[in-house]
Amino acid sequence: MADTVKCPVCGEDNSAGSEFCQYCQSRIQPLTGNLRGENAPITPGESPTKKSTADLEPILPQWLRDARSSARDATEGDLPQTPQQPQTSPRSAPQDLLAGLRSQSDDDEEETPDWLTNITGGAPSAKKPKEESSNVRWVELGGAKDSAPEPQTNKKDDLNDWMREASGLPQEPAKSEPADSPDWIRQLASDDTRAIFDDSANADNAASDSPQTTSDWLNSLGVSNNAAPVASSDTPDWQNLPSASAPSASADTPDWLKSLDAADSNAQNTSAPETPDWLNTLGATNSGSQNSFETPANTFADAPASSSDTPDWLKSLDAADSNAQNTSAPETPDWLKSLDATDSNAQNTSAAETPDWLNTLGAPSNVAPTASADTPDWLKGLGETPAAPIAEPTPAVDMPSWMSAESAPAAPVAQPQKENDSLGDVPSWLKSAAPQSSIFDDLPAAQPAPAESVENPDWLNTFKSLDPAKSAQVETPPAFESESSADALFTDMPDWLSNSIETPAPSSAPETTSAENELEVSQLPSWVQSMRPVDNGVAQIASAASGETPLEARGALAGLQGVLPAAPNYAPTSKPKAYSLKLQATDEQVSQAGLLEQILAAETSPVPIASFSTLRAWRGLRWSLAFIFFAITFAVLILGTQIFSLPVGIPLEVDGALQAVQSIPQGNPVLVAFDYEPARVAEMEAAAAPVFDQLSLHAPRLTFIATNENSAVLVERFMSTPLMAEHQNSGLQYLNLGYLPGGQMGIRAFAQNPRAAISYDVNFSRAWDSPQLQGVNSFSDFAAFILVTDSADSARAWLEQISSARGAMPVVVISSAQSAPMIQPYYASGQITGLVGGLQGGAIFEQNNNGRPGTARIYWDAYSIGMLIAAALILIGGLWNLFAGSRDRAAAREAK
Amino acid sequence: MRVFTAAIAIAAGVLILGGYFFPPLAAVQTLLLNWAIILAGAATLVGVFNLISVHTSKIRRREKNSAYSALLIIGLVAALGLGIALRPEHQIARVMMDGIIIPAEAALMGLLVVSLLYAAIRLLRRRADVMSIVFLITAALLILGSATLPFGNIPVIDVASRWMTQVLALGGARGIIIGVALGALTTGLRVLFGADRPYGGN
Amino acid sequence: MTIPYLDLITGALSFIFTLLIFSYVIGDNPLFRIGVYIFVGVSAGYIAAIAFWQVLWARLIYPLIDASTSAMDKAFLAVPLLLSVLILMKVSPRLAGLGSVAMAFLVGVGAAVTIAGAVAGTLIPQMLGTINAFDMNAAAAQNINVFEAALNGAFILAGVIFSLSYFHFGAHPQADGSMRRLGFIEIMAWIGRIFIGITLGAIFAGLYSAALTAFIERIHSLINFIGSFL
Repeated sequence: MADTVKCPVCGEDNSAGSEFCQYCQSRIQPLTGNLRGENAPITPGESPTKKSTADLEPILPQWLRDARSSARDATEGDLPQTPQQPQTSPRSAPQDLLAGLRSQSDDDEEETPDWLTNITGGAPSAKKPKEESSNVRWVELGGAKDSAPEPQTNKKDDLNDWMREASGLPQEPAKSEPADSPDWIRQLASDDTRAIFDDSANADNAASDSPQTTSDWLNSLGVSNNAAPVASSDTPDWQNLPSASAPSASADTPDWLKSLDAADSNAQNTSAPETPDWLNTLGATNSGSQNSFETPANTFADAPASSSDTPDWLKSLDAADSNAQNTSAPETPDWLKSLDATDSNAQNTSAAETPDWLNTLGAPSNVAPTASADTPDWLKGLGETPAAPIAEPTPAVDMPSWMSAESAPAAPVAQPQKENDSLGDVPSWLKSAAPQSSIFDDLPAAQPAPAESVENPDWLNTFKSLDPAKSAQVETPPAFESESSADALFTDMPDWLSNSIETPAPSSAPETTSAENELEVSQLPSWVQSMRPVDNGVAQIASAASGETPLEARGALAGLQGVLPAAPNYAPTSKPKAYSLKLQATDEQVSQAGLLEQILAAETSPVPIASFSTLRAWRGLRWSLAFIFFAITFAVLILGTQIFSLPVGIPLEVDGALQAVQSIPQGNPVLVAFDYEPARVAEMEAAAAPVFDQLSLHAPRLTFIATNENSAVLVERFMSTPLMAEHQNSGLQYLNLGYLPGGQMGIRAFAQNPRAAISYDVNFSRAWDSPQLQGVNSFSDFAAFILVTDSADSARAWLEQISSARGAMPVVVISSAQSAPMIQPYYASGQITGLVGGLQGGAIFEQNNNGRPGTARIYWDAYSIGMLIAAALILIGGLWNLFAGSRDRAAAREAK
Repeated sequence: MRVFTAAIAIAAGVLILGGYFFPPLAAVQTLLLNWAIILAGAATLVGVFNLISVHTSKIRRREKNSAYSALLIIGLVAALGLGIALRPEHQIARVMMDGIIIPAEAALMGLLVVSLLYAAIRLLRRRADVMSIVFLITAALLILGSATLPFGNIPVIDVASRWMTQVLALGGARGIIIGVALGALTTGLRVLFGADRPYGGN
Repeated sequence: MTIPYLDLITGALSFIFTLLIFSYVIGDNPLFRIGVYIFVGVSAGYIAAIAFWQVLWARLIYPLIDASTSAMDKAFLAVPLLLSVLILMKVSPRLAGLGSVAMAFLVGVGAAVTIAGAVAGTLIPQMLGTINAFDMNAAAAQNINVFEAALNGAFILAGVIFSLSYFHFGAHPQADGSMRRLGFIEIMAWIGRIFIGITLGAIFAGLYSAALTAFIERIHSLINFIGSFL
């Protein structure tokens, strides 16, 4: 029993109980019940198992040998009948690309079964089956219902018309068109043919009296000369292939043909002690022919047009007899000698010398059992019972008619078991040849170990050992290609033959299946299955996966298999161009891709951070710095020391500011713009206080405006400082216009038209009615403009927007030390009159403010100490880190 | 809509520019500028409302540090309420400025003393190129030049730092200022030509 | 009217918030975050209040209700009123698109003002200032040596040119596929890097000076607050 299951799609092995393939997730277990074991249907594309039955040749049944002999007797009588068969265009090449398409191309060829045409050269050469473990079985897809026989209704299947004709059903109109039906089938269904089964003694007479109704292929099996004349337009190719005029012998003759030849030539040297009687009969039929022959290698080429439709192997068989005189005995192989010995009832034929073709010979013989002393009763009934009795339950429509023809007489539904019992000694392969719904339905149960049955010949037991898995892997080489492939001829025989061997249907099948109106797989020939649409063709996929034949998946040929074989003639003459899967990229692209890869890798790779010890060290530095500055500042401010002197000297920009403030006339309006953040309050107030102290001495009419939201309040804060409060107490008045939004837009608006830009002060009083703005109608009416800002951008905005409106008005900028360097160019360009930057600028201004101490003096000691410490730390620490960094970088380079 | 907004921007810009060169357009320029002033003030409120929405959503989602957001909202609402009710110049309202805003901002500014010094010390550890060295030397020199000794300015350093400020730094600062002006000019022209549309619009 | 304890409250708040912020010296901590978040909230609320009173109320609402305002002025205020409503719709994501009209107006006006200011207030004056650095008469008027004035003018000119070269990013493809500036531009940019470094150093020094001033002022306020109780 198989332990693993092979997936029909991907071919991988899966455990036996798997429902889905673990590789491709395809369903392994069909949704519907499968026919398993011996009942398992042959899947489309599967070929009969190639078995070596050469060893079993001697034990062929007598009836087969009788059939051969009767066929030979009827050979000469069949020849004149040849003109009666409608001739068709010659089938020229065996490798017909459309060989498998004939049945579907037009009505004229529909009658030709695919499997017949495939057997001809059109059949694609099969590959060597892949070796499989013995415990692997192929999954049979499609349940019994999938191919269950449909009820015998008016549904007419063109493909099966010829089958119904062959079944001899009177209601089939196709029967009136004998040209459309294969002769061998009609002959099989005819009473004359059945007469062959009735009495082997009458077989020869029946064949001679009505050669046209004799099954040609049976005749050919019997090495009959009647094979060739039956060629017709509807004759399968395999019947037409051998030409009756195949004249010359050749060393290329297949062995099996040689065996036939040998049988005719009655070789004297072989002995077959185990040769069955039928072989003896076979030899007897050839007794008249003293000359062996060899089938020429160019059998197809020499085949006449009239026989072009005859299957090659039949032609070969035919040629075996017709050219018997032309062959030479010395070329007879040894095994033919054994056949000869068989004909002479020699008893010492060795099984090893039995040709392989006999392995498959049993298969066609299943459908053409010759009546003999060993003929089973059911076969006798086959000859006697008319075809009509297979009535209601027999699925004559979808079931091949030839099967119906056989099953009708052989499987009366009323007596299944009785007849089965009477066939206890019937060889299993014959039972397999019987209809699926016949008395052999329960055969598997009756023969649990057929291979070991004492009643069956050994070679028949080999058939029983066949399993679908092996049969699916059998090669189907083109017929008559070579000697070596000659044995494979009969492995190419229709699958229904091998299927019938393997899958005898249960006796109750007709009733049940007809009730279900479905077709069982086991009753459907594989060639029919291969024609089924592809959508139900998981089984076909399985066959395609087996590598036997190509499966057409789309287009008009969808569902067909092997219709476009890869003929050698069309094979590419040169090695196909290899397309590399490697991406074609230039070196630059590769390098760029590598760079991108490095970048991505760098992004995802963890970056080692500095060690915590290092971080702790740097944190210690930060804490140390904080401690130093806190300590020093606290100490200096608490002590209130004024050790450090204020800056000596006066820079030009501070001097310009001082001169500008001192030059403001008494009582003139002065515009002051505040634009700094609360963070700079200390610095800005320290820098602005001496300037406004100096300015207050001139009793200006101060008007404050803020271009920063907080500055409007900072104006109030500044004016509330003790110094400015003192000036206010002295009569200094100011006007706070409040916040002027819009940045440059507001500045431009105010510079363009101050009255239009601002109407109210912060107290919502009319600004222009206040005394501070008396006489001021434009921006240039102010005596001076003082900008207190901590931002270079703010200074730039003011200076840019008032440039066209200021006239000759002096502009003094009080800035933070940070923005002073960026405002310096405006002083250098003359756009501002003076610049006081930061605490240092305020300290300088204080020294020139009549010696009035201010905030800068309070802060200056702490400021100077802090600046000195900072400069020292920057220089020392910078140098130390410069060398340390150089050392680290050098170490890093060395590490790399 | 996008064309409409672009047309508005270009038209307003052209009218403003025309006011610089054509006196009859000066009145129009003033009018438009006053409108822009009001809009700029309203835009300030938009920023504040956005801050409120962001932190309110944080509180609603109970995100990390949502307690701090709650403090922010409380402070904002309180300041806004007091400012609206009493006006910003009121004595009580100024407590917020003098007691919270100025000390906090000044303290943050004061923290830079340690941070800036720490960064300056470590600068050459990580980056020791010409610009860094020149930067650090200039900074140290000007810091030294800003300080005085008990007896007066630091000799040489005083003159050197002043020269650097009034000459070398002036040259660089002027170059930067001109570069900024050129950038502003280019950006403004792109906006007026419709190449840049930072105002959005569908 | 003087409100009692108002200075004490102000001093106490100032003391507390100074300490809260200074606590960052030991690292990020909840006290620091509390101080910062409250400061941001109060600052935003305060600014909103200022914007309301000094912009919307003073420039938009109050003129409309003020009887002294002319009808023409009131009519003209309808436009900024409408635009203000539109720009306030920026708060709502669904209505934000309507604010684009007001934003377009703002951007257009701002662009024009920037252009005019940059040309008239910076570009031309600064170029003239660079040229005037070689004005020997002006140098003599300031008692500056002519040679010194010329040297200073040369340094300033070099600083301007090289600094502008540093910001010149026009590059050309090289033979090896890389993009580089022209050779002489590279040299000028390298020199300009020195000038930029000096300028940034000066700014750093000024920033440090401002920070130190703020630090000293905060320490001084702490001492004063503590001293007020002593």
